[in-house]
Amino acid sequence: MEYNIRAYVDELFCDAPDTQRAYEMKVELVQNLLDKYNDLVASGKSEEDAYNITIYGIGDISELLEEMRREEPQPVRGAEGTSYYTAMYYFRRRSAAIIAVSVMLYIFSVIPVIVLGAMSTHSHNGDMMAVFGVAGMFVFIGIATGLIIWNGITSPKRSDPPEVVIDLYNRKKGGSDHTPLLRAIDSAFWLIVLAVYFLLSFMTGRWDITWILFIAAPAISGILHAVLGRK
Amino acid sequence: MAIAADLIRGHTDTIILAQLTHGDSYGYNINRVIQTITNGQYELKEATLYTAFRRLEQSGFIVSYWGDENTGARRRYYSITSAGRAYYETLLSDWEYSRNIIEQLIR
Repeated sequence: MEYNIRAYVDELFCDAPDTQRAYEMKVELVQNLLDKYNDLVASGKSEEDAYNITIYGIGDISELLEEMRREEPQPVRGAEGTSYYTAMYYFRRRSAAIIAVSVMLYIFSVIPVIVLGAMSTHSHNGDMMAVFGVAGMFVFIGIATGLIIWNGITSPKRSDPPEVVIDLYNRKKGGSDHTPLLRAIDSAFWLIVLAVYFLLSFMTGRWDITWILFIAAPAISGILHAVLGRK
Repeated sequence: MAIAADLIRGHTDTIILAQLTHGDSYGYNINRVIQTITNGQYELKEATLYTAFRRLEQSGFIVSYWGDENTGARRRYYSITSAGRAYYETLLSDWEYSRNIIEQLIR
C-alpha cells in the first residue's frame, strides 16, 4: 500500500516542472501521506480504507503545480547544463571509468620494473636500467593516484536528491567534518598504501619488515583526518 | 457543509500561522493537530496546505528546513518568522472585527 501511495504521487507529479522545489514538494507530500496512512492503519482502519482516505485527502494539486511551472522555469542544473539525474549518471560513469583505468595503471606499474629488471641482468649498464624501471613504476603510480584524487575532488558527493537536501542542511549547520580534499584522499588511501608498500619492498627488498606499513596506515589516516578535517 | 468549509478555507493562513506560533511543525502534524482540536470535523486538504505553505514562505511569513531525523523519515519543518507573527496578529484582529460585524448583521 505504501508503494501504491508513492506510485499515486509519482503519477500526480508526472508533469510537474523539473525543479528542486517541485522535487522537494513531492518528497514532503509523500512523507506526510505515509504518516497519515500509517496513523489511519494504527487507528484500526483497513489498509484499503486508509489508502482511500489518504488519497482523497490530497485534493486538487494541479493548480499548485501550474503555479510552480509558471514561476520557476529554471530546471535543476548539474554539470554540462544537463539535468540533475543526467549529471549524476555522467559522474557515476566517469568515476567507474577512472577507477578502472587507475587500477589498471597500478597493476601495470610493475611491468617496467620486471622488464627492465630482467634486461638489466644482460646489460652492461644494468643499474641504470633498474633505476629507469623503478622510475617508470613511479610514473604509472603517480598518474593513477592523480586520476583518483582528481576524480574525488571534481565529482559531486554521490547521493540521491533527498540526501542532497539533507546534506545542504547539514553543511549549513557545519555538520560534516569532511573537506573535499579529505574525501578525495580517503577514496585513494588504501590504493596509495598498497603502492607504497610494493615500492618500498621492491626498492629495499626488506619484505620481512615492510608489512608494518599496513599497521601504520590507519594511524596515518587518523592523523590526516585530525590535521585536514575541520572540527 | 460545503459552504462552511469554504468559509473556513478563507482562513487557512491564519490557522496555519496559529499552529506555528506554538512551535515549528511539519505538514501532517499541523493537520493532525487541526483534526484533534476540531474533533475530526475539519482537516485541510494537502493541496490547500501546501499552497498555503508556499504562499506564506514566498511572503516571508514562514521559513522551512529539512529535519535531520535518523529514522529515515525526512520531514520539512516550518517555522514562523517575526514578520509572520505580525501578520498573524493582523489577521486575528481582522477576524475579530469581521466577526463582530457579521454577528451584528445577521442576528
